[in-house]
Amino acid sequence: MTVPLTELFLVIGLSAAQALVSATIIVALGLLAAFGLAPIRKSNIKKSIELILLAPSLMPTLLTIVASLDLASFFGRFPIGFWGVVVVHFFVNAGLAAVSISQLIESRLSGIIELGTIEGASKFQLIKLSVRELSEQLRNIFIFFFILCFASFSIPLVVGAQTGRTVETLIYETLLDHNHFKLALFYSAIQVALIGAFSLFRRQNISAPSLRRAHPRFLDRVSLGPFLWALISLSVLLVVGLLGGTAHGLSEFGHNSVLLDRVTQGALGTFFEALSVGGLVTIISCLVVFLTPSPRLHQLLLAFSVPSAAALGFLLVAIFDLTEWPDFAVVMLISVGFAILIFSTIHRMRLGDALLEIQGSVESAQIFGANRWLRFSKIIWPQIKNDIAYLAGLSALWASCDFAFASMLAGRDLTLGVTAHGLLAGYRSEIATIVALLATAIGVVTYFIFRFFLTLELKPLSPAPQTFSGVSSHGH
Amino acid sequence: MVIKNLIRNYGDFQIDIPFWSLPDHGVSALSGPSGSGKTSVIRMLLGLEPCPGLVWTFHDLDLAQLSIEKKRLAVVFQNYELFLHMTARENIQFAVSARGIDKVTGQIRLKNLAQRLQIESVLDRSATVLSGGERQRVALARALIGEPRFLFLDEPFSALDAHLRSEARLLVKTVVEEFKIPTLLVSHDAADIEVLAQSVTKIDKGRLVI
Repeated sequence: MTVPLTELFLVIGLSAAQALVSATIIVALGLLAAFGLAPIRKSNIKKSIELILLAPSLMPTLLTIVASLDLASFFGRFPIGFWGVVVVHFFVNAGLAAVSISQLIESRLSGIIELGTIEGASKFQLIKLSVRELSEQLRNIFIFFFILCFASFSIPLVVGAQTGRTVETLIYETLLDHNHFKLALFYSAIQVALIGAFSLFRRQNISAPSLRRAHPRFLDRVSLGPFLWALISLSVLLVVGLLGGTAHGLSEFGHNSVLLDRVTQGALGTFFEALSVGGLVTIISCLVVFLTPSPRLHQLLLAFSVPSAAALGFLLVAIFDLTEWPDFAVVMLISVGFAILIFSTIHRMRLGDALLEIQGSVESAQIFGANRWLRFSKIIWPQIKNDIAYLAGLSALWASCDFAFASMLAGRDLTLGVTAHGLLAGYRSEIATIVALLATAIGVVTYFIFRFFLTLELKPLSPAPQTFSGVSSHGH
Repeated sequence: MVIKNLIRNYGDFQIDIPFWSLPDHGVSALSGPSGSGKTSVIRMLLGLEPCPGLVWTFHDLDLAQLSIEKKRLAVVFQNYELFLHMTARENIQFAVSARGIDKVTGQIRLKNLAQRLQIESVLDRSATVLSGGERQRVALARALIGEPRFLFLDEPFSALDAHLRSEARLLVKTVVEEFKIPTLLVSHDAADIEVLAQSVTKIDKGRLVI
């Protein structure tokens, strides 16, 4: 096996440079906006703003990509390549950074800001002091976004071109263009090693947050409102871009009957994929939950991540001959692969913490003699079903717009994400906007299906047990 | 009751108890400063943390060889660990169904315990709205209803206000004596030990102090 080292080093360099620039801009502007978000006092207004800021990172990436392309079309041409990848990474992640840092400011800076205010420090001095105080946490946040952007796949696949390539797209090209599986695996190993090396820069054993949250009156002293409004405006601009693209796309879309047929078929495939991924995430989550408490499993899931989405996709293609498979079976396989890909993210995002929170009550139940099923049905599931419903719904939403993974396996337009990707490759971003919006709408519907059905209170088939006092155990 | 090889290395800290003899009746206390390893000892004996080589002989039975569920132990943790999605009654009834006790017996025991621990009026309240003292008594009722072989009380009064503590100590003492369940009280509070315990073992830096 000959390794084209020059190309590998070039792509690693491009990936690292792009990740460095992306993470720097994300954290810098996220930090400034966080100083605008933290002092907001009214909780409902604050929650609404957080939702607006988080929307681009919770919504499918495809939607943010088409919105960015539509927005750019108002001003000229989207900067495809290195800067295009940076721009989309920024749109997707800046709000998340702002919300995370705002929570840190509230939980960790109460003493410092209050003391500084009493001693008469200026706003600039207080902000400087706050940044220094948060330096370890900011470093970890920076490394998180750096790794996220370094290993990015779907964004550089659409807007990366030559200068915006990442190691992940190199793996994809190696498999798609040259069918060179060993080389792709070698690249995957290099990527895992590099991500592992970057993770070493994270600070461990950070001191616990303050028990008292800072009072918003004192946080006013460090408020940087304009940066928050700038970030909110960007989210609003993305919506404007989407609306503009929709208006253009609808007029073209209505006159294209071939596309209409493709979209109708793709919609079915998308709905099936979203339902399957949500269902699979529910099943895997239930399995993990059923095995709780299992510290080893928890550690394994924290450490586990699929080395490369591209490699996993092509591995599945290599194992299964999909040419003879019916469409629904191919979509099912896509769903299985997608669920495997995202489960570690789901676990890190919420499931792991939710399980840790109820670990004490699970241990208590075990000590009182409860078997695994009783612990699952009476203790764990009632306390964790909302989390699982949310995560299954979110997975379904993400899957609805998946295009990078699905296009590797499908080879044809089985889902709307793949159709939208094809349209984007043909520079038809307005029609792609309609298709992406339709896919997102399907994702939102499946999200609510999971939120509704998984949180239903199941009525027992037999009458409720009577207690000694003759009333139902739930009482009135 | 004899415990052997209660040994576990946590890296920067070690529990090292090669031999420990405890009375198999009444209340024994394990006392020591914060960070001395008291809670780790309980977690190892309960089976929540692995301790290969442990031997725990109790009435000719090696409890260390049994799974956590089969040991038939009970515990009142420092924060009580009530099931917050349930009412007080459901918390106690959970222990009844977990131990496989028939419903009639469970109801009789529940009535008796509720009277003794003065929790009849709060049985149908959600665990989330109970006061600290009520939570403690519900946790004790849940621990006792399954008639465990052995009861652990892990700093059971530390979450209570000072004026509630003395009252709670006397109530726990009366109930534990009445139910005749051998108990290990873990506490760093001399007053807890003075009121409840008939024998005391001290622990420091993971080792028993003779």
